[in-house]
Amino acid sequence: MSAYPWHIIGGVTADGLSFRTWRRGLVYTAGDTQDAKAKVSEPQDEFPHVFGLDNFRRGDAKVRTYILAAVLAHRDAEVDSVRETAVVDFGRQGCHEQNLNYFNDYREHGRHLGRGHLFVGTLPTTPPCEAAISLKLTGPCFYMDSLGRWPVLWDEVTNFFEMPGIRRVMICHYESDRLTVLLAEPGGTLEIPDDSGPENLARRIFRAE
Amino acid sequence: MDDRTPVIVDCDLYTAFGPGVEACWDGLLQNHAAFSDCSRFHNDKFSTALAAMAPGADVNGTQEIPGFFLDYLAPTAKKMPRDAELFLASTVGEIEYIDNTERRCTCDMLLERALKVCGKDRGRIVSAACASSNSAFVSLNRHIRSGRLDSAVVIGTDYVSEFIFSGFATLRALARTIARPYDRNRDGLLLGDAASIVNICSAKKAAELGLKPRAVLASGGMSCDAVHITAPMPHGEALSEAIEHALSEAGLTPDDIGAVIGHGTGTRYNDDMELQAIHRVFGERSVPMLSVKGACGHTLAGAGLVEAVVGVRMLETGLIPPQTSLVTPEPEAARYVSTEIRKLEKPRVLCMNSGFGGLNAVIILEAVS
Repeated sequence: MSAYPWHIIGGVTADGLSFRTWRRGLVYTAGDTQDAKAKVSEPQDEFPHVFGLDNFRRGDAKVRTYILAAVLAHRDAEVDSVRETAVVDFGRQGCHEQNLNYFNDYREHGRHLGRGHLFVGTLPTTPPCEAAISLKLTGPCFYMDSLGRWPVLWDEVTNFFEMPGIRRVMICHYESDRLTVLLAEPGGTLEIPDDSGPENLARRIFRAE
Repeated sequence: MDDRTPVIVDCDLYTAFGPGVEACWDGLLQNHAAFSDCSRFHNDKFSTALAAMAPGADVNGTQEIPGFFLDYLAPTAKKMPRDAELFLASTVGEIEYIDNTERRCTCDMLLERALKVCGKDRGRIVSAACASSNSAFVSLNRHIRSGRLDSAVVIGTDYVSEFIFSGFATLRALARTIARPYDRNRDGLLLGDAASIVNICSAKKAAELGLKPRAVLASGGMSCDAVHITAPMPHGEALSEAIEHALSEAGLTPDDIGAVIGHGTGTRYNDDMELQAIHRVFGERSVPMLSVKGACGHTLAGAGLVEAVVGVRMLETGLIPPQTSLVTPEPEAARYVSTEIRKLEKPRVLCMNSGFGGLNAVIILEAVS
């Protein structure tokens, strides 16, 4: 167990196309990503809908899930996005599937028909960056993997808050088609078991409330 | 310098100039470009066959390049304690294994291999496209200054593969002739191999280990354009912010910087954006600037580490290498770049990288006083 000087204000876990927010318990289930986009975009309650989905179709299903989950994490926390948000994406899955999609397309169709957006999708930072673009998050953003050592992720969140001007951190974790996005803000003391990842942490915090 | 100041105690490089820091440094000082025709794959369908390949790296086939590089870097890595954290900056890891159904070709496989070869117990990947190395440095800078880490080995490596080459060709980002960063007639980038390593620790740890600091990691800054996944912010505002964060953290002003090692890929968009960002921060001051990518290519995730090592040599020698492959400077670049060797007048070098996703990462290196 380690203690960290920040707290979680909301979040969401997406299992395929089923989204469930942690604090408010909002549930969105969709048949496809366009349907999910429509449902997430519907005005609900007083949450200010300051996000852009103009480029939603540019990414693959994983990218779209990141964008929608990032929007829903803010809705769950009942906050508008702020520019000074850092984004850290954590996990072991990387972009194996996207690598295969790009390279198979390239070999099948050749350079002239090879689609550039598939190549861009081979970068592990593409999904969190597309989420950052949709919400105009201009803080630091990178992908990390520490071979399963969760405290590395939590230390990085602390690290971000020590950087000048960072007001919020968006934590993403993707594994086996399951994405969790949490929003953290500085202040307080959060004790986290060393074997606890984002979804377990959210369960512990919000189920206990 | 206080106990928690991060200091660089060792570094090494393997680039298209060959093994060793001095091979690359001499190549830069002599204004040489290390490009040649790439024969690792069929290149006849691309607009160029040129790339900067590390000599000897693919003697056993491209699948063994990462292993070759790690074997080369291992002796330097082993100079650090076993519990030093290994930071690996990579974009696609061992991508040449893409056809191997028994093995994923993601960065984590390369990290596991690096830990074994370099004799380290723990490590992490930091991946931020072409800003990966500098992002690792910025993260590490804070971890050491806060006391969460006291020593680390930072490795950055990427290499010229059909996967990467075809991808940049698809994006029409490859130069048709040669990469000419900051040149009026530049028309794209050329790719390169690189494996680089920097050993870094707190000043206190360096003293305990009996290691002599070669440079100080003074500060770092990061930002995201949040505008477009491939195109940089046209006027470079977010990159300026990252530079200003780095200056502010170190308590420096633009006048304190002796030189800038830019990302300088040679693409029109990147170089224009960078020049605007530099002008916004440095105003009318003609801060000396260069990009190593006109000499040893764009080495992707490894680029920041190559530039950091070059920055260390600039601080140690007081020299600024010429801008390789420059013929006619872009008008906005003319007051920053030169084809001559210049003197480093102030003991700090600012290194900056930008990558897909609009990611920007900047570090400032300082001479040991």
